[in-house]
Amino acid sequence: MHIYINDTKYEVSENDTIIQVADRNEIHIPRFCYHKRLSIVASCRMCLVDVEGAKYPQPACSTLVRDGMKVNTTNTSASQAQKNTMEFLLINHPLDCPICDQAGECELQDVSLEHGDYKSAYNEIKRTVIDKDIGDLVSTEMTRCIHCSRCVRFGEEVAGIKELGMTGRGEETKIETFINQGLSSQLSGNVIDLCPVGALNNSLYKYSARTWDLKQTSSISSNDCLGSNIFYHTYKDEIKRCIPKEDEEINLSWLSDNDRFGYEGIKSDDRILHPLIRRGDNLEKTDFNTISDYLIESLKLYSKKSCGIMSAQSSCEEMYLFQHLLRENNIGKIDHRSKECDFRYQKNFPTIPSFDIKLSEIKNLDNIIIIGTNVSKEFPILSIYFREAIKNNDTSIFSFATYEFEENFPLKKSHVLNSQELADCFNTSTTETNVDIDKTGNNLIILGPAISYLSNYSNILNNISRYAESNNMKLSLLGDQANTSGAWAMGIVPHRLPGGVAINKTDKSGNYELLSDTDDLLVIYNLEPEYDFSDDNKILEKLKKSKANIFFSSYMTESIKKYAHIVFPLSTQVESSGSYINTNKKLQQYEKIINPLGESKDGADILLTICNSFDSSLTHEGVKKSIRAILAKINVNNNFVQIANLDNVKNSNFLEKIVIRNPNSSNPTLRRCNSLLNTHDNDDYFSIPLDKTVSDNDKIILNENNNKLKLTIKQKKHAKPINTVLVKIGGTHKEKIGAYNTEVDL
Amino acid sequence: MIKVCTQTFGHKNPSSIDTYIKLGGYSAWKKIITEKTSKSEIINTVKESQLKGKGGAGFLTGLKWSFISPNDSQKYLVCNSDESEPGTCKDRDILRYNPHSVIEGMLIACYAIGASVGYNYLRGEFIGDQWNVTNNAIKEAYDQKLIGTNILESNISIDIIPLIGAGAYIVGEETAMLESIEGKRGMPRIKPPFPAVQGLYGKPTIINNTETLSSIPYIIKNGTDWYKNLGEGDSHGVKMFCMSGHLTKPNVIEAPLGTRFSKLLDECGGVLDNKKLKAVIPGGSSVPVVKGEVIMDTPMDYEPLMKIGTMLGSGGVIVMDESTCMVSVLERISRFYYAESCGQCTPCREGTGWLYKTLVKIRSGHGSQSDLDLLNRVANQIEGHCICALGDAAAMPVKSFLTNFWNEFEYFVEKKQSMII
Repeated sequence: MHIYINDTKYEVSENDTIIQVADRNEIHIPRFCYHKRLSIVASCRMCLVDVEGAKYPQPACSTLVRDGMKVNTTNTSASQAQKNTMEFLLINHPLDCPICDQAGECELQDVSLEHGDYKSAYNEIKRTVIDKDIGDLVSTEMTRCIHCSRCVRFGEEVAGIKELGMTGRGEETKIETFINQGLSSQLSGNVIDLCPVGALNNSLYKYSARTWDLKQTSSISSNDCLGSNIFYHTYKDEIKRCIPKEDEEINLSWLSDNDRFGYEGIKSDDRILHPLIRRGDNLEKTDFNTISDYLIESLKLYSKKSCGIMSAQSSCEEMYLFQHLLRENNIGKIDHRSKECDFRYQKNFPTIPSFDIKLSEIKNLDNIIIIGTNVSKEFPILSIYFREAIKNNDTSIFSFATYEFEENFPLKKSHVLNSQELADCFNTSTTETNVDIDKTGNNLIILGPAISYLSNYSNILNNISRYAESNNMKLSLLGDQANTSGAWAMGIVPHRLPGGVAINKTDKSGNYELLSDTDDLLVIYNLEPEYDFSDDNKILEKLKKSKANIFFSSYMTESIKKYAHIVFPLSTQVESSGSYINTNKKLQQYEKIINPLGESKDGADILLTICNSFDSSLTHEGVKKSIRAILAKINVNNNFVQIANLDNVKNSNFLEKIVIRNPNSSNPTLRRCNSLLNTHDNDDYFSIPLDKTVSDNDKIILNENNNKLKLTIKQKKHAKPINTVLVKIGGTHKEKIGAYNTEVDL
Repeated sequence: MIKVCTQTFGHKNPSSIDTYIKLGGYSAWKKIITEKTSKSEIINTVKESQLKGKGGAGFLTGLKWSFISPNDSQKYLVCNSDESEPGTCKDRDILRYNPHSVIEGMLIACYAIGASVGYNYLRGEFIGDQWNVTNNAIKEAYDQKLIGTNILESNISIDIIPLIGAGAYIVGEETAMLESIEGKRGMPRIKPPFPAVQGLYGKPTIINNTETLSSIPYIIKNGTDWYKNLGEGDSHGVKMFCMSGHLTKPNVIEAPLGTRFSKLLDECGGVLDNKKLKAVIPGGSSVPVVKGEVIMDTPMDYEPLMKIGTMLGSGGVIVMDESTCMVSVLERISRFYYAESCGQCTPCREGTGWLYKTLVKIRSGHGSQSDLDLLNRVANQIEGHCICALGDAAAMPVKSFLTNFWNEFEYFVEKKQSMII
């Protein structure tokens, strides 16, 4: 089948529209409402083209090709129609390009240059629209709106939340939120990119630069394990904004709000700008040599009772050097799992926890079981794939979690269970399982990061992996941080070297607990003791007692101020270069976007300098080579090996406190992004003890060991697991929340 | 005087089922379900009767029905009672005085196309009277087991569900109506796919006008020849004409298609106060206006009216006498389309406002000659460039008023006042 566009013959397939053929062959047709990832409405009438035999010009976006069809995109009929539409669009559009952020990249401006007239025949009063406050992320200038409805369709079709809609009729048609709500989905920022004019703007970027002055550099997201591809736009060494870089394997044309706005925190007042050393009660400025010597000295002094804990948001390079440095100094207690407390399964854990299938294959699955993750909040990009799967293949999605939440896609069934029930319901040895799905199809089980916080994580893993194996289902893991897969691959675990090579030395005590037996030296890398540990009381206790506390950190916190002996000022991800391994085991490089603030330095540079004092042969290039070699050698199977007999942690008859992962404060930079924190649901706590009768705003006190935690009840109307108190971490709370998952009394 | 859709008009309790049955109502429906008449036979009967859609477009109803695929999938029938075209008030009276003919017509249509549900979508403004009458009538028919599950023990089940709009003119456009029924904002869909292929909830759907469906029982009962022969001259069938404007006795008249305009005028007692007839809009405000003398002898049917440059449309005949200022009339008509554009397509959303504002300017004495050219140009830019016909409906009056009464407009912009004092 073929058609002619402007007298040139093009091969087409049956369901092509004219605009698709034109786009494939780089024939320019102006458009506003058409977007390749949204449904077709053909309402802007900008893409009108001349079709032989048709009385009037036809919209290229909605007109299907016919064999032998003759289309002209430039003749008088087509160009007059486009000119006419342009005239209509401009009569009510303000001429405020000089103060509009969209100017320079405005689709209306571009087409106006092509088809617009230099003067308007319209002499009446132009329409003005009162701006709406739709939240801290997207600012509005609705007078500029040309009603293309891309933002509305994005909400309905892609994000699955109808946040913006059309109200009014005719010229009075307005795009607005219903009942004066703000945007709050984790994908809301995408409407900024979709808006062809300057009606929906990026609040953080507003009036801060002109588009033609910006320098574009590609990078990788540091906020979740999907590793979305992004572009940073900078001006004079300052990040002005962040937009998606199209990637068909990961984020398509979209970006989560965390990725888009997550750079705001780097300019926080908390940034550590100089190397610091403790003098009495205070931390004082010093130089890198002094603190490097201090670290080297400490490593020599305290190798026995020491440990190094590193954030899984660090780059592979930092990880490789970190474990190299510590292991060279006989410190084997290295970990990234600061939020976990059950390590019994670790020897059986896959070499690289990862997503077993390509994201693009999700749409072919029959059933998906998601365990312990609120996908639309924690992995918004993934939720887009789920919605596609439901649309494409009628995929059934089941959710198992310790609390009930809303998703932006329909769940076939949602189970809310406590931690014990969660382990039990996948126990294949009991005859009756709660899981009622067709086991013959193409099925996938996904384990969310919050499951790893549970005190019976090992039991859950053991049961689920056995269940998956016996039912021939794929099992995938979503990491807590951007480089969780990298952390496992680079040996940031006590029992494996880089590449997953097991350490043969048998652990006498069998005690893998992170902080046990570490009374001398603590090296804490890019983690905040207040927020990043499964038991904040315990880590603070340790810091108090330990003989040397070495921090690598970008941000100052109360506990660092109080307990650090030396602090290396780390540059943030955007100020460094490195690589992440995403959940699909894809190694993605990122480059430095802006220069580090103050004296802060790329962690890989700091670590390499220190390593070179032991081993001068190490170079950045050598490290990169090693990382590639490690990844190439790793067995790609995502194998879980079951443990024959694994005891239950405790019996289920106790009141357990379970923490809820807060994706908007999952790393130190995000915790300092005020726009994001203001936008999303960041209730500090909500708690639901189930067998007790409590009502909203009741104050309860949880007793755990010797600590007391005061909570105000915010009952959610949802179903609740029995014997469980839920506490949300992160946000802006100032109180200590104690051990993540533990027995408590009321 | 012939009576088809208006059969019960003038009787005592015209809307009650007893009156309707007494006059032979539901006999066609009962015959169909007892004899299990084949669907194709019914469709052929309607096709041969030359019954044309009375909503405005005049498309052959039987032909429309035959587009629906004969397989067993879910299908829908929608009765378009969203009668909103200015000057049109026929469905209003049918629903008020002869609601059972619509119900029977819907039942027959549902049966013929294989739909198990028929929706009757009434305009929002009908909430006071027609809405109650329709609901009562449907209840009466349910009580007599003429609608519902296993109708008269025939194993045939059809439900009729009345719906009421919220006051948007555009929902009278068939695909916008489907959107509205689905609970969405009333905006026309892109065609193709046509509703007969992909309509309500994505299923094949037939949408017919109230008057069309109301005619169905009579055609089935009395046969195709009877209906065809009702027309005058070359025309077939009847039509309800909503006679409004400067008339001694404005009225809704059911008359044979092909009746000359002069005869309709006589039936309404002539032009009010014996003034001279100036202009007529024969099919609701969206069709082109014609001068009085041109239409006087024209048979009121689709083709003859096309020949004089206008359309039969919905049959809303608006009569204007010599005292009418055409600039004012056009301004008022433009205001309507400006207010009722759904806002979807650029030319209509922006253009209808431009037309209206320019006309306001002219009528307030601030217009110029170039504004008249502008009106013509903008109307041409809208016409044919939008998804639905509302843009055309806004453009056609402008163009026809300017063509037919150019001197009056020119006078206004020159003298800054109306030619009519």
